[in-house]
Amino acid sequence: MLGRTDLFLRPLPPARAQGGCDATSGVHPSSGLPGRGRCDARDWFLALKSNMFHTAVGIEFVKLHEDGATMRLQVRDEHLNGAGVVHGGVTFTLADSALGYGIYKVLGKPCTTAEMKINYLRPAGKGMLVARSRIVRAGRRLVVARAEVHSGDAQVAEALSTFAVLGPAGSAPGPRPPHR
Amino acid sequence: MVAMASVAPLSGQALAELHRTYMTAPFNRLLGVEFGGYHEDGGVTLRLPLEEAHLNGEGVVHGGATFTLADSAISLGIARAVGRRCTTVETKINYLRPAVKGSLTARSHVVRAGRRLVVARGEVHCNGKQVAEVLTTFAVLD
Repeated sequence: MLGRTDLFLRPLPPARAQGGCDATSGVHPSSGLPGRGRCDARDWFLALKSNMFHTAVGIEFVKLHEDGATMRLQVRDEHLNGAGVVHGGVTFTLADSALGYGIYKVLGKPCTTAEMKINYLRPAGKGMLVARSRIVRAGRRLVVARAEVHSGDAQVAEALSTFAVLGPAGSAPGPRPPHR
Repeated sequence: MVAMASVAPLSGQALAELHRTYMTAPFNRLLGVEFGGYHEDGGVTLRLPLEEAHLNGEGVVHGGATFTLADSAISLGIARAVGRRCTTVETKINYLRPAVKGSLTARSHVVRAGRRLVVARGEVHCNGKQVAEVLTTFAVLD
């Protein structure tokens, strides 16, 4: 949702043990994140007191583009809803992270989500979810950007968002991507 | 995201099963979503006691956590009120102000339940102030 620092490039802080859970042992097999050796997902979530919701959910940075960013998430059991498919909140969070981080990195300015609309195109199951964001227009105060979320070859969601640029209005604009 | 139910507003055993399905859904458990109450108008209240893990790098609640709580409250409310299997078609969320600590409370309302589509809305509050407004469309599957 917000980006002022290189959150996705910063080394993960060590997770703290909680509730008898050894949160510092092992490496999670799919994400490579430390500290999931003998924890269940909720223990690990609580142990990771790092102001990094995206990391706690399991979102990883993949690539920065000229006009946005790509993020991914290996779907695990804890990402499912009661119907056994990926919870809409997971798909939304992945898209929001790709949008917020892409805007921050491309424009070099901190920003926050003002609003976002997401259409779910088909259910997503196990596998890798990948979100690619693209800036549509970067103004001085508002940035409009869209994102696609794919599961394998299938697009599972389309998002359109408005971000508000933080800081004094009318400050010198950062580098701008080509308008689409 | 997918809502299960029967024909009229659910009660008794059917509601108990629906309730358990939602409150034990893996992602809701991961985040720590708690039940707040069912309302006569078909709405639902869910709560999310905030932990540090819900925050982003700016120290405010990540928009994805706010969205997930609202989506779950709306989905459960529709499932209970409509009584048939539904799935989210689209959702729009406006963030009104940052949420920092305490707990988030989401309250859903069914706006219109048609034969094929259901429109519902939700509000998310944090410490007495509204932090998000949500409007969504669900498709009735059967």
